[in-house]
Amino acid sequence: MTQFLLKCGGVVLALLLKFPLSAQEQGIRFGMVTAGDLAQKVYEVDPAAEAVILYDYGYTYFSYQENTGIVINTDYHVKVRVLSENATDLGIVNIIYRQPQYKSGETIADFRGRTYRLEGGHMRFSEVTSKDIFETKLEDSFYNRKVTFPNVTTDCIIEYAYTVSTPMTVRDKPRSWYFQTPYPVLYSEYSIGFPHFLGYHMLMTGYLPIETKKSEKRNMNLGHSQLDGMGSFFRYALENVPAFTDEPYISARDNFISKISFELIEARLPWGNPREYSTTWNAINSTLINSEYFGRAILRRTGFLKEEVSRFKGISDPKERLKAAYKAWCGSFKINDKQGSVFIQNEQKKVLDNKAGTPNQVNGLFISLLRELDLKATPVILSRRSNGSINREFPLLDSFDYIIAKVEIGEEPYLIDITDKAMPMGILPFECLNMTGFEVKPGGGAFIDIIPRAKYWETMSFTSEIDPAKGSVKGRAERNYLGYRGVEVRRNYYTQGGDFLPEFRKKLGGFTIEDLEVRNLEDNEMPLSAQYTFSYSDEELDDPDFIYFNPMLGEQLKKNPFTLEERLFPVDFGWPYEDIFSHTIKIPKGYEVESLPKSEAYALSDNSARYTYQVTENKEAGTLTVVTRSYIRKPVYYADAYHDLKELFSYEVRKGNEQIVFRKK
Amino acid sequence: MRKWIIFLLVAIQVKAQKPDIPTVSEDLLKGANAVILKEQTAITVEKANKVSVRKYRLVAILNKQGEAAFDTYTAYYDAFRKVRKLEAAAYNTRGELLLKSRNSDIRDVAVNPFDYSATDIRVKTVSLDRKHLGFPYILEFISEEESSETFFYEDWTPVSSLQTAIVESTFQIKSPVAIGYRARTIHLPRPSVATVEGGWKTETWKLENFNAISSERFLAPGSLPRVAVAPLHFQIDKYTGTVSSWKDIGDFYLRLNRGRDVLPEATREKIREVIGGETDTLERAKRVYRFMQGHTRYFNISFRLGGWQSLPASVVAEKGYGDCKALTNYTLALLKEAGVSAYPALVNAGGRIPATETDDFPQNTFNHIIACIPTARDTVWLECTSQTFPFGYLGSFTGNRKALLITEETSRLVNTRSYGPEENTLVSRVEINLEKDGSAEVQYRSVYRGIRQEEAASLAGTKDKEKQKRWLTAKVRLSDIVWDEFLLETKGGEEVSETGRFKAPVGGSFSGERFFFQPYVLSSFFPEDTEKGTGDREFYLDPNLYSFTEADTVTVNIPAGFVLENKPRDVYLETRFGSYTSQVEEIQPGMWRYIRRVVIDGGRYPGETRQEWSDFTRAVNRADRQRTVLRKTL
Repeated sequence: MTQFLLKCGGVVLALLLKFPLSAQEQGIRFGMVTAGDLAQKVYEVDPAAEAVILYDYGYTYFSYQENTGIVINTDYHVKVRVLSENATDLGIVNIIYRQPQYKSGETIADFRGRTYRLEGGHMRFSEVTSKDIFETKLEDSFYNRKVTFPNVTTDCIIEYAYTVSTPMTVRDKPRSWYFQTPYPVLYSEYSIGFPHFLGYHMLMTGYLPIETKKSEKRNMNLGHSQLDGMGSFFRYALENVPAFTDEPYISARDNFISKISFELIEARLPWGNPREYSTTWNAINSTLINSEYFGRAILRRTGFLKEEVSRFKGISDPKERLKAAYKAWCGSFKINDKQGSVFIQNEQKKVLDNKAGTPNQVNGLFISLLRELDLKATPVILSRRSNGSINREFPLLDSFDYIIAKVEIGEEPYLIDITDKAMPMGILPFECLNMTGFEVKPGGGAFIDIIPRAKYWETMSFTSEIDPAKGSVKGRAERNYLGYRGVEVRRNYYTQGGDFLPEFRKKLGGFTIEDLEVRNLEDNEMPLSAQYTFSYSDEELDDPDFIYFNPMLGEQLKKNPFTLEERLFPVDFGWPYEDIFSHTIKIPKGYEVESLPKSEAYALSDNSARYTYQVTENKEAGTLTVVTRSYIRKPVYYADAYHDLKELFSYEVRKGNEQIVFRKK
Repeated sequence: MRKWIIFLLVAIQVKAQKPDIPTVSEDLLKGANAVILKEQTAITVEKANKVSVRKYRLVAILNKQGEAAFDTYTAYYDAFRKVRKLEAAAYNTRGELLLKSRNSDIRDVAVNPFDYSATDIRVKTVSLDRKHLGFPYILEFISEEESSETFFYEDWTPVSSLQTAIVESTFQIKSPVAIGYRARTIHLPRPSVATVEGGWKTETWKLENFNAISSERFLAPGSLPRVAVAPLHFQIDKYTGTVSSWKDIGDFYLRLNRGRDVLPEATREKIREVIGGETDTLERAKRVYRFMQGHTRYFNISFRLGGWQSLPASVVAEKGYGDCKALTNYTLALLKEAGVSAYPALVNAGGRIPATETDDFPQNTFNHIIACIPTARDTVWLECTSQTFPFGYLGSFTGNRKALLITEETSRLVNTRSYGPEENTLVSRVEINLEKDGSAEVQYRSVYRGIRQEEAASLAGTKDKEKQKRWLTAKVRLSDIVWDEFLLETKGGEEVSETGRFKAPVGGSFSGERFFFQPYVLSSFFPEDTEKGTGDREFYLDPNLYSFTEADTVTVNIPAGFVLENKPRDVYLETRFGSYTSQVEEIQPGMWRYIRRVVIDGGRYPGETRQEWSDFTRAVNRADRQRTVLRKTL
């Protein structure tokens, strides 16, 4: 995955390049729309597009303001061609800005907007006025400026421009620039001029080759003599950008969309000491360890855990001690999940008292507990799937959003998360399975691979008997839900309010289920199993000359999950998968076997995914046994394996439809 | 200021007593995630322009779902309404205080800040979710709201959540006798108790020991306990009046919007152009509707009275946007200019058809407005907020229900368009060519009408072919199909046609000499209904979903070298809900025809018929799954 990202997303480190000076940057003028622009209704970039972004321009520059300090300004200028009623919502523009209570906030200046349309062959436009603009206070210090454009129809052009000024005390880096949007973009251009005293990482991600139009040294005037000087200017552009669309089984939108994002790495203001932000992984490690909001909150000994420590201290075997603590704590906290950073509010005593906190606070507290229980526990930071992946080449603390615990006992260390009641110890939630973690450790941190420690798997074993005299089938079933499948079934059980039956009803509509016995529901460390008897009746089984019987009992894959003909992004299952089905059928009295499905198998060339179907007849016992097994061993496949995977599922669907035929003697 | 805060603290402390925790019977706990131990709602009409509402809720939270349903208490407010008080406390089952709300537990947020609207509506919420409380525990909420607008009183609907039992819930309304109010009791076991004292009338209703409801899937609208309340005298902004009939509500609407239908001269000019020499009323109306759809879009601006009063037609003409009131008002002005008589009609819109229990209890519970053109032949209804609806189409959003038709003479409730099994149809002709290798080539044409065409129409309206393909593919019961071609198109009016041709590598399955296939390859009936009903309430099949006719004719061409061994048996099912038939016949050697027809009539049925429905869905699914078996003749 990491390799794949490097292949596709280039990364540029700013600041080091030297180029000659040139003039101030300007985009195209506002209002350059013609009747000809409105006559065009089909665009080569995507002839079926419901809207096309004709022009997307951004220019970021820094300035100095008395009382506010350094300000990051961005000029925006956008032109949108609306081509369908499904795109008229582009006529509403929401600009979110922040105005903290006790300091200078963000400002939006010089908003201009127009809607252009054709009327009887002539172009007319309507100007946005103050009547079309509404301010709404959101929460905390956030506000929304909503603009609704006048006269937006299914065939018009919308144009707008504005400038956002953000004091660095509110946000210390420019907003990410997205070259790709849900609609195709004809031309997207982003320029930025960095002053000499600020250093930023620029990170480019996505599949599309972003073109560097300019990269040069420039004299920059910020409005303060001590700050002015030679800075670095860059301009990037991308033409004919296809719309960004999601595909099933992709890990995170942000990994694939083409964009530039920024991270502040150093500030050398003429006043005050130079500040270095995390520039190396070692620096990140020590930043975290020394932080009030990380290391001091998690790694330091506390007094308030004393009582909890005493609950487990007596257990002499370290592994047992760990297990006991995990069992007692896992799932026992209320999780308030609304954070985007690994820094936690240092209120760990409150977290314990309230039994509530963010996942990072709760996992952090668990690490503190384990350390006080004399276990070798350290925090590991990672980025959850929805937050995008980690690039080991570029030390960016901001890319991380989650804390788990690493505990060294024996050979294989445990990676632990205690936020989910249904998880066995050492199994991480799906969202955490994102390849890379970074262990924060005094004396030097290190990367660790985050590999799924469990499969998603289920075994099913059925025995059944057909009774042609009654036109019915009855039998016994035993199912084992293992690994992540067990987690899923347990979790459903909890969300369905402690009712297990819906799990079956969904799949087995017409079946009557009795004598259900569920084992190990409460014990996550043991395999969850269910046993029951089932029966159903069917007129087709009522004493016919031939009995046609599908041995899969409705458990077969009914449709191929992959329907696209081609695929661009990797197929990310997240975890390995396995499914074993076995069914022993008694040959009905008065009947003999007429025909059986063939025993066959299909596998990917590297055997990493496979489906087998096997039928055997036991003449002595008068039974048939059908066993199917399917597995996928790799959590992630590159797009070039897509066709083989699709064919594998197709094969599975086909075999799952096959019938046994019994003939009346 | 400071003094005031201290005073408030003292007041709270005095009130902080242990609540009485009643014992809850085993029976009430069945199927409940939460139990409302005590709930009180009290409306006081203080004066013509002031109504206050006090609410108290004591609820036992039994598990996580109960917590999700009840841990947050909300109070909406806007320019006319204020939230005076909002508090929460948590207790253990012995009634001992665990936690009390403080300022940081209260959030104040804009409602839908990023959608198609700009309004002054905000919501305050209180929640004690900062602390983990072991189940079961008890939450207490207190709120006080005050409104200076007295045109709309909120009904009492004590059963507000599923899987929630109620020990006791009471509703009280109090008003000076001189002002008064109106009330209607619906599905409550006991009548109200009313007293008059010192010039005030007080009336109280009570619901006790109400068992949790598991699902509302087949629950008829209006079948739960409710007290509908409405004013006799009202004031809103500078408007005052009395309201005791549908006519009064209509008259108030007319008053609020009088003079707001003046169009700019330029727009009038355009309409005259659009109409030209057309004389037919319906044709004029059609042209106006098309003009309106091409020049406007939905955007709701509601500040203060804007929630009730339309933006003037001149503003819509200038800006090209408005909410349902503004766009309907504008359309009516355009129609007037075109010489077409038309009227506004208030309606309760949404996929779920509103209750009929209060048809004779005039109150303003409407959330939408449409236009109505009575003509000699028929009545035409216009949805003015859609840029794509066919002329005269209402569908599941406002069809199948009553609307308040507003006229100068006498506003009254009338039926909007009805959509029954004759209107909501899906007719398909399918031809399947089976090949020797088991693959199949399928071509078909389907025509959707009425409510059945809504989803297809929205797909037909997109330019996104991939999205269309995904939708079409999902409906086909065969796997891994490859499309040769497909076309979704709206056929003027309320009809969508879908044609397609695809190949399926697996048309059925081989087993030795035999080949199995199901002739019914397109779409599918409702899955089997496996929920168990209790039978004590009406059984309801929502007509928006369950009133339809499906007719399929499938021709199957069988390759040479195969003979039929087993054909699906013919099925005839006749129930009170409707009928199902499917038949297979050989038309000529190697050519078989499968004919399927389903007619369902949605609506209200006796509670005990639930099992019949369940059996019916099972029988239909089984019939649809029947296989045809062919055998190779070598």
